[in-house]
Amino acid sequence: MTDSFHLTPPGRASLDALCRRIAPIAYEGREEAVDLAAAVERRLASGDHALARQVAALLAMFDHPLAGMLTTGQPRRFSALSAEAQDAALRSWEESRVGVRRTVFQALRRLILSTYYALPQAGRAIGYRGPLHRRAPEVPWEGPLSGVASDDEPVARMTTAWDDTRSHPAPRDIPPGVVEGHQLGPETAVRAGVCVVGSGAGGAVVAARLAECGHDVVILLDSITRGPRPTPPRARRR
Amino acid sequence: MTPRLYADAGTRATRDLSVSILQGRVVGGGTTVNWLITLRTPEWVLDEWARDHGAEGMRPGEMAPVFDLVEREVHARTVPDDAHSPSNRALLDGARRLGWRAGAVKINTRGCVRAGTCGLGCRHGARQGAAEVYVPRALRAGARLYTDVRVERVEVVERDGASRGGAPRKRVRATVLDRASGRAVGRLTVEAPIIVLAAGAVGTPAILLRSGLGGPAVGRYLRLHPTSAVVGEYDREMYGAAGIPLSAMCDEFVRGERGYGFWIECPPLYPALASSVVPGFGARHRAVMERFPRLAPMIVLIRDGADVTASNGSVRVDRRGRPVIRYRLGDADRRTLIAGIKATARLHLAAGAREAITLHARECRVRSETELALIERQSYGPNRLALLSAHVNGTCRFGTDARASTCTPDGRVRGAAGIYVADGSLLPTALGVNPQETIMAVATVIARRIAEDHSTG
Repeated sequence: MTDSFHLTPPGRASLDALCRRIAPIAYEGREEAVDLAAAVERRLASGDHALARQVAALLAMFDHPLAGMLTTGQPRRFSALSAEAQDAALRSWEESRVGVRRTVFQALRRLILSTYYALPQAGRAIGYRGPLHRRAPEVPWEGPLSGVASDDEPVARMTTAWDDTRSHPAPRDIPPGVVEGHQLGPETAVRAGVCVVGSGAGGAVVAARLAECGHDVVILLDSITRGPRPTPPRARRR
Repeated sequence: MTPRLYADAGTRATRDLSVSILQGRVVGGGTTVNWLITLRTPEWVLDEWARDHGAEGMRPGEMAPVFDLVEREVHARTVPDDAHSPSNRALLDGARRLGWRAGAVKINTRGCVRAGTCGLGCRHGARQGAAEVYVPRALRAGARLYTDVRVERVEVVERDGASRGGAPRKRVRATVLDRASGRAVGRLTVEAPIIVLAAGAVGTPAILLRSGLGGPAVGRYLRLHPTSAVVGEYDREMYGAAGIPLSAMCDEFVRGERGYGFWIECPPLYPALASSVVPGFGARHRAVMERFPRLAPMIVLIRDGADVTASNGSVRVDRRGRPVIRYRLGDADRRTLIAGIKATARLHLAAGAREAITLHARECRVRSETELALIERQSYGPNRLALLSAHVNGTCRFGTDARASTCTPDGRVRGAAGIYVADGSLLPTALGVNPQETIMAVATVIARRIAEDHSTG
């Protein structure tokens, strides 16, 4: 799915104009200025292409001269309007009495803003410090507390300095019993006593309880991006 | 946010995008990416289930030992007083000044280092969710786990006349997916007499609908705990991207009128998620985001479904079998939401916030008690206020009325012997508390019932 999704040149122009009005912070010529429209397009191309095509259709709708007629009274493309007229057009979509127009506005707004604010330079611009596994604690409400750890509490306490080895647990082996999709051939047939679909708060609990009372359980899972992580050795927790 | 951990890469929403839906799509499901709060189902909700929905074996006295067991297994422990983040401290302080009931909650961690990145899964080995506790237990007891397989449908091979004295055989048809591209690369068929559907309250009804099973109520009665937020701006650093995200709650108003009220909690504040819920665009949006370190968000969640006979929302499947989610706030639920947003703004002001910003598309900032009326004057139609849901349930609910419930009170899908539902979709009403402990406890009850119904001999 990463091969071929590109916006048309007018779609790209429309997206670029939207990005400049929705997230102007991205374009303020410091050394960290970004091409936000390109970042959005890359994000679309890396995901579900059906969704990307829907977004492309929304952009086309947004940039259509008739949409300009509705919002500004002028049959002009969004990308051809002045900045003030673009802002007015965006506000008219944002607060439109027509539900579909509010939906289109929110879809494009969220896509653009969440793409920008996921960039490391955007985080830095607003004072986001990044996750704790890449740095030492900087505010008093993060990191282990001081004192002696107790099993009656959910939190870590330490009498020594921050030990960042626990932020980097050793890579896991795939536990016995797990079969990953790439290990399967084109056709696989399996028999079981119980087939559990899902491994969340419901499925994992049922699977564990039935397996523990002797049922032959198969669990099916539609993804695996992060498996069970081993609890770090107690020694590290002090 | 790591999109790969969430359903539809984090973009799941109702069809009109009016409610964004965060559902974990990873080993452990939502319990791998949630904010860890471990709460029992309120007793008055369990009483309601027994009285109005025919629940069996789920009365408060029967559930108490199940909750004890689950809490022991997931290491649920109350967050100590010196561990709260500034947002949670503000919630506790504000509630105390207003005389509202609030307190520290239990979270399911062991040695939590308060990183605050729980929504990305725990990098620190502290979380004690389904993936850390129950999946390894299942595997140690001999279960097999197949990953990267999407279940398409369940086929009932024998209508009746069970072959081996047990339930009739079924076939689960699944597609094997290539992990990188998501493309179908193979097929997996599992034949078993007992099927337990626990694919979440979007996935489970979608499977039943694709299978033609479950009757007229499948996918209906969607409950979401619709959630909005009020962002407080403070004069001091609140930095909500770190610290235990959710360590305190205010449940003063949860019983509301006739049991359908709201409660208030703190979420973590990550830049990308914050940017999509902070309203507006351009200079207005940026003015809020630039105050990131001094912002403290609080969320208000409503126990939806006050009009108990109305469905309000549904999960259907389109021609390609993909889920389509619809939801509309009922009138009574909308009034609860408005009251909840007002109360949350008051809580911020009582805690010393300089201003409280709602998520309305039309700018709404409250700087004093007298300005709270602004909140009532806002519009509450779809996409006029950011709404989120991380608690999806009810779409295969149990009950005694076959037209209004998919499952019988003991968790079986009607008309399909040996098919059970054991996830949030089974819950007959919204809960009024975050659902993970309820789902684990109800799944325990269902598992025991399956074990009684089907011996392993």
